[in-house]
Amino acid sequence: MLHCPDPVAWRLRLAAGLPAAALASALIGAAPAAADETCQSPYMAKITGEEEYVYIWTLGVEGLGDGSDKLVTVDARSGSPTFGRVIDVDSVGGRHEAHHGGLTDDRRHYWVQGLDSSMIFVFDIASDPANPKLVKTIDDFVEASGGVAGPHGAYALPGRMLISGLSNKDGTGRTALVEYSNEGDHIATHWMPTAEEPRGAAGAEHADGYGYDARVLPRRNVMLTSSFTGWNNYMRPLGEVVNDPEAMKAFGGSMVLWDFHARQPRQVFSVPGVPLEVRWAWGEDHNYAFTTTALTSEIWLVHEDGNQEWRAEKVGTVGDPAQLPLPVDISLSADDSTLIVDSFMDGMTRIYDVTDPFQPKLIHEEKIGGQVNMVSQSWDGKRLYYTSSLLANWDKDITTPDGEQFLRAYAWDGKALTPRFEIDFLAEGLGRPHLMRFGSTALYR
Amino acid sequence: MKLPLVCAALLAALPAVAHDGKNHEMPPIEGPADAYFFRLAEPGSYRLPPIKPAADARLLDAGGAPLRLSALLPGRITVLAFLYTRCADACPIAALRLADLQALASRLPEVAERLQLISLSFDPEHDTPARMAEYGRQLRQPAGPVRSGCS
Repeated sequence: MLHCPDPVAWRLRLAAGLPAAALASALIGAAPAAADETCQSPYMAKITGEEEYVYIWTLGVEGLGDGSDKLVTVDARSGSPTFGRVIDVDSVGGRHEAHHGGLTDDRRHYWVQGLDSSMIFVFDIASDPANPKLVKTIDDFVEASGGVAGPHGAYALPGRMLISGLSNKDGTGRTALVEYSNEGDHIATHWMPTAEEPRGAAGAEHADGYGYDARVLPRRNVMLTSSFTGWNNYMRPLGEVVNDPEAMKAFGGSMVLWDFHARQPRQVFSVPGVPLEVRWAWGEDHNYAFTTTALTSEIWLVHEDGNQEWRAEKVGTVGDPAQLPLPVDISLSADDSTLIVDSFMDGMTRIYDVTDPFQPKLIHEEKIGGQVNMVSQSWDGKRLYYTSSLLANWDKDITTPDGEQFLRAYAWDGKALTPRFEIDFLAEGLGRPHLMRFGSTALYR
Repeated sequence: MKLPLVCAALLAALPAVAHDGKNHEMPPIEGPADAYFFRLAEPGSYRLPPIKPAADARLLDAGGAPLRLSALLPGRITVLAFLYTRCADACPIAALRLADLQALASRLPEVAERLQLISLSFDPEHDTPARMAEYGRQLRQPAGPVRSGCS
């Protein structure tokens, strides 16, 4: 005889006090979205209108302005008196190798990170989207994570941030994924699999332990990670690295498919030549992701076949691989039809029709500047934003024309890029612009 | 009662699942991927770390009485699902999983006496206490041994 109340207490109804919209998006995952940059976590709140602000995590340059890393806010509102201009600058003090970061699921906070110092800076972008405020600094990432260093991406999960590391306390490329609560508390560390410690993953012989990007396709319960290199290489001048055969061995050539729920590596793919950015398609039956390889200039597709087996295969090349164009950031349009690929060395953007993801077709190419790295597009695909900086010690010499540092904004009509505005980050004494995220007051009304 | 048709159809299949006397094993996965159908890691083979304390939400129970979430949690293993009765895609899956849990727990009295399954609607405009009470009754239609074992 059990003396228990009915264990099935189907009895509750939410009255008030919980953010219903946040719960809904956390539960359902990819909510319909009307406008936003396309390469964000599906768990994240979306902008329903034109982006109003572009927040640019910018690496300070010694002797330029205050020399500090800073968050630069640019007015992107068409018709605004300050359209296309810097309207706010928040320096964090010092140079940390500002690189990547990301927005929380509720889009109230922007986490930006330093690859050198392993510091994390959390900005409130909700209280006044035109005037972000630094509200928290996390300075014990290495200790809290159990030795991970070089926090790179910050990817929104429900109530959490998933931070992909690049390095560790010894400076090599063995690294991990680190989860923090939105409040800034460490939750868990998941080390990348290696051949010696595959943690149950198939294809373990390809596992090299490097990390770079981490992105989730919730409805298939999979997460895909890519691989770069450790502190010893990314903080070293590029010319030295490429002329050091030992250093050139210390780059990633793998991607890992994870069981997302269990955070367990399922399968390791050989993707030679440093696969960097990962972009999942959005279509409800599009079970695939793109990446490009930096050193071999290839476009790869990781896809699920008709038997629910996952595969990685090369589906194209970017420019002339022999010239080492160095593909860096990529952006997939919201309708999965168009893939934008930036390459750093030649300063080019190339736009591919990927309606057939196995056969990318080049439809446009254009030189954006002396060097180019990041690209962000609006959800409708009509506005593109480019920034120039890759890494402080890999960027071209700022005293030369190709060493220009900029934000350039364009309109894209499917055929041509039309300039909307540009900001010279050297002339304005700001530094090296890197990661962009969009903001809007409409999110918080 | 306007239960989604999808939800009712899923629940109609429950007795066969609940009383087959076997563990719930993953059926073989064949053919093209289905939207929410994927292989799960073995139970016990992984950890789900605590994320953060739950917000102490103000709630109404199915009888309309106000209470706090914190009052429900101590001393029990709680599985809590967020859903709303007009939801026809993800919510019926969550409801089915709770029904599965109910059936599984019915075979494990030491679990059943510590377990509570709670569903929270985040559509308070539509999901009145009476509606949620009816929703719960519908879900319990294939009255499993958990209920008959409790007094």
